[in-house]
Amino acid sequence: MSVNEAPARAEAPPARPAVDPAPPVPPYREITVAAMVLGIVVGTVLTASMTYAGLVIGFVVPASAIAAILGWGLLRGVLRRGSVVENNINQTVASAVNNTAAGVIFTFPALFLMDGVSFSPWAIGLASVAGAFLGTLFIIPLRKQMVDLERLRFPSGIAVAEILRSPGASSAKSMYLIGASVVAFVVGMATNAGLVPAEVDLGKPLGFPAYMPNVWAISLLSVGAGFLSGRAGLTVLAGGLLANWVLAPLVVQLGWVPIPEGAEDVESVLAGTIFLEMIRPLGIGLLIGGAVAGVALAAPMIRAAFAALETGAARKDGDELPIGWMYGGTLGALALLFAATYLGAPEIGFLRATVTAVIGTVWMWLAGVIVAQCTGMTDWSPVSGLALLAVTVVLVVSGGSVGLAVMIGAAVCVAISQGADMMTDLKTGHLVGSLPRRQQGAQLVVSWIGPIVSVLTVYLIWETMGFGPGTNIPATQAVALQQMIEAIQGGNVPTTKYAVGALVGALLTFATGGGLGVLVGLSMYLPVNYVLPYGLGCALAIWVAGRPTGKQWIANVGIPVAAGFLVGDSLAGVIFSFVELLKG
Amino acid sequence: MRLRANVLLSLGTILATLGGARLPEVEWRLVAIGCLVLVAGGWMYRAAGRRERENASGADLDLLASLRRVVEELDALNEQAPSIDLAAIAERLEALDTGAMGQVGEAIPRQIAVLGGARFAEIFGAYSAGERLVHRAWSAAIDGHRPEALHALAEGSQRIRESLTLLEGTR
Repeated sequence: MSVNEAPARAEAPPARPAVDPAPPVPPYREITVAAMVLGIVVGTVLTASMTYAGLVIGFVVPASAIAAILGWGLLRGVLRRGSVVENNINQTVASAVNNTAAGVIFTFPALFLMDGVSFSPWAIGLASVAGAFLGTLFIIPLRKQMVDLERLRFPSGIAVAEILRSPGASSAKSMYLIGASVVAFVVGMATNAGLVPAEVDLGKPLGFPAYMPNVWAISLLSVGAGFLSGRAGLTVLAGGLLANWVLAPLVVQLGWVPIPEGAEDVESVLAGTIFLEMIRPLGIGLLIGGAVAGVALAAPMIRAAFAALETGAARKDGDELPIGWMYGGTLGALALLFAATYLGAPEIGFLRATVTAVIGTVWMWLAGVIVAQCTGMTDWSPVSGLALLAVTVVLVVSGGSVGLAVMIGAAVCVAISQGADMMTDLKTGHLVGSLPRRQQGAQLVVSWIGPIVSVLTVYLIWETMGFGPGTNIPATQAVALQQMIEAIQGGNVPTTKYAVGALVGALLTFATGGGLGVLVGLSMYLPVNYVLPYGLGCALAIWVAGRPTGKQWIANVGIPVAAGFLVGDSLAGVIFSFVELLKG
Repeated sequence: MRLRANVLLSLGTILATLGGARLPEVEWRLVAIGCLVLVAGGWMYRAAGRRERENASGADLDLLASLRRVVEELDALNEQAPSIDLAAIAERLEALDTGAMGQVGEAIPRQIAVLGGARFAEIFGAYSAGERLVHRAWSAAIDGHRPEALHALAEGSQRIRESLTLLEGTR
């Protein structure tokens, strides 16, 4: 391996002016104009594209891996001067701008589809911006606990770090990364385009009833994420099997699932009812109870992290962003959220607006912790379920104001997406040696851009093309939220299921002293077709680690291949989205 | 005992969630029984953990030995770094990262229960900060920036040494 060197620092100042002084050593490139501008441009283009694509195909893909690959091409290839940590800043910025698209497309478009609901798009934009700031600010004090101490895996963070480190990795490792990316890209494009089935139903030939799904998604991303999660992820498989292969047949045998009269495909009706009305609400409850118990158990470590922040605030070269920024920023963002709430729905009055803004802020913190933990342990984040809970709570607090509830829901979605993204990027930063405070500062400076681009894009699409059922842009996520809101307005809120789930989640976490409640909750929340290939990846990692040279093989082959699966599948999602965009 | 605890935890989860799943009304008696089984399982799980920790002095010694090896290797590299090329520094750091540092990293989360949250955070907070700086030294070496590589290596070694001193103080 050959490396072009910058000269070492002079040991002592020269006694007199040198005749031929050595050129000054430029500082190590980290937070630079090039990295920031490239990140903002890539993030903005992807945000607008993903907002449109998300309305068409129902999902979005993260920007980190794409930004890291483009970063190498442009920073080092074209500008001839990029460093590993500079590219880390570039991908941190790009993903900070882009990741808000998911939060906006799940919530905001629903308002256009509902008759008689008044709302203000600019107030929603303002609330989403407040959410973006709060989501980032709330998660920063938890970096030490989640990345440094609990050492959560953050599979996507590892995958992006592999890309960032690829110029210095051995050629064999780079080949594994590239080869696996190509394979996952081809498979991802083929499944997206419908050339091969997106999933395989093994249940039918084996005689499984429809309410006991044995369906495997053709998703190398899931296998890769499972491999990178390792043993912790196996709990997700166990929880998924418990929910779908133990609970589901038991409730059917006990006759606890009502079957509507005249239903034709009874098994499919049972499957839908069991997942949507039993398992999913219990899973959401488990997530909440598990997370609250986890925060209580981690209180000493969180206090230590805050103490470190206070100490760091006194030092100019501390690891973290000064805590004053966090307090000031949080107050500012809270004021912004209050302004959006009060001005967006003046009919609810000052007091209710204040209560709503405070509840929204508290929920953003708790939901942010939950999502960051889930992402850290498994790479999956239950954003939609937590946003739905926020919508439910605000509907109650605001006396039924749908516009306000969806606005807070959008802010919460954006906040938790930002929090999870920040923590994933900080994990990547840990692996390549970036300074956390620089990543945190870079993300804070740009986090307002994504919500504005995304809200404007949705508004523009509505005004020019329209979306919803019967159009070329079905907006499936927004339609789902619309249906849920209508169910909530009809009094159909499974509060007892949430409560039982929360109790079980808290007990599991207190019992084992870890994140067990959150993991089991997540496994019940997720569709089993992704849990199964994910579990396969986990099992593979555990089996390999148990072999005599297994750990070495994992470091040299397994991790680059698994990271390649994540990168290739994400790239396929982006390319497919662009194709859909061009078609539109 | 650990196996029995896991069986009880699984059984408790099944019973409580089964009771909670019932439509239209929750079967509260089943939920209560499940929660009691969960509490019993949790009690056994924690008791098993305490027993394992009492017999785990060997594992603690392994961690301490691994951490000492990391510090020794970093000290040696610090000494030689000014006179060897950056590619060699990067190679040795990578070997250290997948070797002794990897072993320490894997053992760290288990120490929460042994040391308690605050003490654990103090000791391994310093270690993780040092580990990040060692990664930074690798990145700088790959990027050809010798001053940053040497600076990060020296600072990272110092933080990891702090962590070793603190850990030795608890033994």
